[in-house]
Amino acid sequence: MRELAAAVYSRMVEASHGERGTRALRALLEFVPAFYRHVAPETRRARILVLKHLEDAPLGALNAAVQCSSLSHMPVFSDDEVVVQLLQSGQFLVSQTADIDPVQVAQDCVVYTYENRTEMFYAGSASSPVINPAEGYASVFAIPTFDDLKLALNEYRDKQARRTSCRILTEAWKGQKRIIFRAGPEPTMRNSLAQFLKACLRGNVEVRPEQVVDDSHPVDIKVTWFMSNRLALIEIKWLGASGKSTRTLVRHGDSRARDGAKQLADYLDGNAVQAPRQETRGYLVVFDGRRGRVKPWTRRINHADGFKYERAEIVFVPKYHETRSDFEVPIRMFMEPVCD
Amino acid sequence: MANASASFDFLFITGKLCARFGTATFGEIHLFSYLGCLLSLFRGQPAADWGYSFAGLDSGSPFSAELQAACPDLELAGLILGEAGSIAITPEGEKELEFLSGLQHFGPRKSYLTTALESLLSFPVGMVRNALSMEPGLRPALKVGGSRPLLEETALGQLHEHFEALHSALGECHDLLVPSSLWLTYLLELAKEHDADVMRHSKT
Repeated sequence: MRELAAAVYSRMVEASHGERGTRALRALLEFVPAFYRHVAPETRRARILVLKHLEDAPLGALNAAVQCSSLSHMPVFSDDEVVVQLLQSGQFLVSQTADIDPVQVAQDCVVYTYENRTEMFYAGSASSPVINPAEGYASVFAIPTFDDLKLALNEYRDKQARRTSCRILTEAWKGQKRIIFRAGPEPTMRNSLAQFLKACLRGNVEVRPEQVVDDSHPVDIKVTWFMSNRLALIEIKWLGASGKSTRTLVRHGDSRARDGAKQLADYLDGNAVQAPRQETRGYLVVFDGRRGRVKPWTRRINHADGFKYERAEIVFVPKYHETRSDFEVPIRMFMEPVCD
Repeated sequence: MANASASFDFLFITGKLCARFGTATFGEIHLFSYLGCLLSLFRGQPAADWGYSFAGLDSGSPFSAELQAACPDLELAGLILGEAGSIAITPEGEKELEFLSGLQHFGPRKSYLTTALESLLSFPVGMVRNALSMEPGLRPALKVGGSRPLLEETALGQLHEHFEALHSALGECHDLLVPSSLWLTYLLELAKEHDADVMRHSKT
């Protein structure tokens, strides 16, 4: 606990600036997540600096800054550094030309910075990093919250799986080019998705990986809504090639996804027997890492082969998602390679 | 007869969550009420002074029957609206909350609940939920399954060990946000270890 205490920024702020500091910190903590709903931190190459002056005095370096009354009134940002000063009035100053040293201004301010997935708070002569327990997000303040499981799965598909942005998910690949999966990547995929859902789903929800539905059916992820009879079963399948050695590959194509659909339909039937009063929905999530012309020794890939299956939707026969009311439309998550 | 503390807490938490998310959910109301109660223990208040009790569900979530029982009365009085598991505070509810919040009687619990809800400044609600499922009372419910009363002797002993470690790591802090943040960060580390264990034991 002592080690963690050294990295708790609220402690550092209180020790440096006392109650005025923690008040300024609260203002920053309210602002930064809202700011990240407008400006995705992972898209910024230059630093983001947000500060709150203890006496609410505008910094001289921000004389030419734009004064905004709401986030929707912010100017369009170039790739340069963004500096924001919060004001007591609720308005804030924005500049892309001000040159501010966080260590220097922290004597009279609480300062937050984001740069290359590293976040810091500065206050007085001290600074403290922000611990980000969310593997897949550039900032702990940029984690979205969803009421709806389907929306959360779509977000995961677009922001986490597509470019393997989740650090857990990187372990599913054999190399950084994301051409061949490691042997048995499914538990890694399950862990990545389960962690994402745990962090992002709000409400009366519990996310548990690898849950037994009946005697013979362990489902990959079970989502239970507390104080209701709602339940979601998520089955995960992967498509593409995986291998331990440079000699052989295990390949999974469309039929693997169709097997997954059948398996999920069976789970749902099994669950209906075990828990008839539950309103259960099934979600098939297909991690699609298929590439063209992949050999066990392939280490590089061109765009045509890498993206060959980008739009290759899977034809499901039977179409459980059309014939059953408890089966959601399968979600295929195409995972991009890094091409030459 | 409704428990006044539970009714106030229900309305207070609902009001704050509605301001942040537009709606509140039952699970979140129980969660932040329990976290508020634990923070009051950290500040040396006896568990009995909270005014109502909690149980741990096998999902690793806290639940209070008194808190839940406050809901129909608040709804009947037109202070909240409930629909499909989502709860919203009404304008009348906001007025009532403003009045109740000014009463000295609710002052201390308001500060504990405020800090509990301020954990949302540092973590998304899912992480607060995961972290709290690792506190000494809820952790056995999650690991072994089955509902059980919370704040019982054994769990209280372990909880006070956590609090002593917090005091020792932080020294004197005036703002309750500081120990609350450190404790949740620590519990999140435990949750990470727990998840890694689950992964190790799962199928390959």
